[in-house]
Amino acid sequence: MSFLLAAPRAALACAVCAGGNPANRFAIFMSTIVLSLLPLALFAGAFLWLLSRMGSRRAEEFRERDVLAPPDSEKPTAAPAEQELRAPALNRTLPHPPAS
Amino acid sequence: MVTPELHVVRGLPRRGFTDHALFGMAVFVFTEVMLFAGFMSAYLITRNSVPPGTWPPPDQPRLPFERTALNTAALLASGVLVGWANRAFSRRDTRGAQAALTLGIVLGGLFVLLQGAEWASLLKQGLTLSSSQVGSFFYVVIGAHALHAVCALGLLLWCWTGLVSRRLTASRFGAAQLFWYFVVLVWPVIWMVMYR
Repeated sequence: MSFLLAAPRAALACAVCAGGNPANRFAIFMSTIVLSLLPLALFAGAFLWLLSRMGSRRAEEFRERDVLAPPDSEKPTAAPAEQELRAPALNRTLPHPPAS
Repeated sequence: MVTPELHVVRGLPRRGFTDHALFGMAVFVFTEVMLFAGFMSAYLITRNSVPPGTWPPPDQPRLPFERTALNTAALLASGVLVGWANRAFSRRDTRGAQAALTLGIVLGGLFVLLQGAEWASLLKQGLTLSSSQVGSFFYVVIGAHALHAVCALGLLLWCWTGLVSRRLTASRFGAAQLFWYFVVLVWPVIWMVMYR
């Protein structure tokens, strides 16, 4: 068994892969390499793209936070309505339900 | 009865990690790349398994490598023009984007038409789906590519109508472009492998 696995050409285990002419064997070998590596290359490309995307997204979030957050000197003096205008999505209070 | 005050604290609005249309198209293109790689692999193995000098068989026509160079040039130029359209669109230059996209679609359509004329000519010369392995591979692989080209052209036309009516989104245009670039870039590989 190990002999067949180690030397399939000698055993002619597969008439297509191990037999045939040298050009055919070369085509099979190259196809195997390309078809094996292509998905890995695509996954690697997608992974690198997502990493770069993550980096740029994170940078955007910090920029956004700096723009939305009011300066420290204005925090205590700003009226609630003004705060709501500056950062509407940051802190919102639901109105009281009518007292029963 | 005293109702406790309810506070809803929200963070920054949550945004998608990446554009969904673009990501979906990327996954689709990923599978298509593997499909065409499989086609090329099967073709090369079959071609190399026949005795030298018998591909194509003597009674079958040769694929017109030189004549197809014009189609290839039209398709590559179309890809460049769609890229220009994207640059103009991102600069909010709608007129420039529209002109480049129109020309890109016309050149893509020219590619499909020239391919159709080539098919008709080869059919007249006796190359059919069942006449030989050359015919089988030619019509399956080139036909699959032509089908992709027609679908991608349909997507680009959809984007063109959106551009004219000022309703085109960057997401839609990005996904259509990705599919078109796949169609454009896979063609030279098919051409070099199958026609040469």
